[in-house]
This record gives sequence, structure tokens and C-alpha cells, in this order.
Amino acid sequence: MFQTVVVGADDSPTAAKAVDAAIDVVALSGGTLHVVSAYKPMARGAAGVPAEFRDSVRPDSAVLGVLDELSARARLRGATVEPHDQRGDPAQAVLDVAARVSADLVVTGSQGMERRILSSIPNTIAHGATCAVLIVKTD
Amino acid sequence: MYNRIVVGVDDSSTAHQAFAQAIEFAKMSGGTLHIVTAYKPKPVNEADIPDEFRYSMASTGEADVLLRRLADEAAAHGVASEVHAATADPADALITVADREGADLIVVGNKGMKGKRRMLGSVPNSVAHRANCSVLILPTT
Repeated sequence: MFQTVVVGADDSPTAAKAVDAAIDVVALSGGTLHVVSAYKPMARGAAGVPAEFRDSVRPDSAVLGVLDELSARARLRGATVEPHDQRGDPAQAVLDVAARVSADLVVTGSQGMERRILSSIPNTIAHGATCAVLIVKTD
Repeated sequence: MYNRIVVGVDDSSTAHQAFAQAIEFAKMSGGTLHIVTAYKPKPVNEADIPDEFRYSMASTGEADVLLRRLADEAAAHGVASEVHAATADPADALITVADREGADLIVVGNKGMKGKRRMLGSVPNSVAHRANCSVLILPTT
């Protein structure tokens, strides 16, 4: 059960709680954890930035840092991890990766679930996923 | 990881699919299942029932039979359980039991999470939005 687990993450403390809960699951199931972080490309790009600094303004540099940190955290606990940096909307990025890797569980933080009408990331994931969804209480 | 797991059931096949997965998850996690079913008391006038049959009309009858059967099923998989029959809306019953037992997880089937009912307050949707603990929504067909 739960051999292929997908979790969405950014650099927030609530995302770290969701990742920890996802690590707990794969630690028990012996499955693989897919950590997904989404980014929006910057409109301005690297134009006008001196060449030697261009790497530091790559739109996905912050995302890659988050993925590195969270993946390392999972590996420290013995989990098998695959990081995914995705362009676009965070909820859609998680659903896209879940479909691509045929996930049997998607883990998300509960941040925003108390807003019943407005769409939130966990709400979009809970309604859009075709596999099991674990909404981790993070607020 | 999850020590007290509340799971909602009724006598439907989709609820049973979710329950079977909940047993598997509780076994993996090493937790106790709190099996909850909500029922509506039947409007029975006891005066109309012969004395010798009155016990069989107790409104908890069907709920108790269902809960006993599912508790046995959990036990057969080595999972400890407690049962709760509640006269309340199903989502309210799950949240009330979860709060009272200090549950760390509520497990529900995904019935009503897709299509037009998603706007109408299905049980998983209502639980997902109102729970004070984590929620696991399991796929059923």
C-alpha cells in the first residue's frame, strides 16, 4: 500500500510538515517519494543581469534549493526520493506528476482548506486526484 | 505514526472498499481503528409492537450489526478497533468522534468528491474542510 507517493512542497513551514508526513508513509510502506515544487517563470528573465550572476536569477533556482533540502531530509530517513521541478500552478503540478508516475497517494498540507468557497491547493488536489489523498493538518 | 484512526462506514459497497484500505493502513501504521457509523433513528411507536419483539426494534439494531461485522473483519487482520454508532449527520459524527477520541487521522471514501455533488457538501468534502486532524480520502468505485 502506498508504494508511489507524491507530495507538493515550497519553502513554507507547513509544506515541510506535509513532506514529513509523506516521509512517514514511505518509511512504513517502503515506497518511493516524489517531491514536487512548482515555479512561475519570471517575466523579465535574466535580461540585463550580468552574465556571472545569471545562474542566481534562474526562475527555478529557489525551487531547486527547496527540492534539494526536502529530498535530503527524506533520504536521511532512508526513503527513496525523486525530485520534480515543474512550471506552473502548484496544485496542477502535483496532479500532473501524480498522473505521470501513477501515484497511489498524494500528500498535501491543509493550508487554505478552511476557505470553503475559494479554491485552495489542497481543495484542488482533493477533488482532482484519482488516487488516495492525505490532507495533513498543518494549520 | 497514526495511533487513533477514525473511519466512517455505512452498508454501501464503496464504504466497504474504503474500510478495507483503512484496515491495511491501520495495520501498516500500528494504530487503533475507531469505526463510526451514523444512522437515523426509526420513528417507531413502541405501543404498536408486541412486547416480545420490542428488543428487535431498537433503532441501533442495524448499525450495531454492521459495526460488529466490521470490527470482526479488522480483528481478523490483527487490527484493534472500537465502534461508535451516532445519531447525527455522517460528517458531524466523524468529526465529533475524532475530537472526543483525540484522533490523529480520519479516513473516508471519496464518494461525492467528483462531478456535480462536489458543490453539494459530500461527506469527504465536508470532513476535509472541517476536521481538526489529518484526513485520508481513499478512492472507491
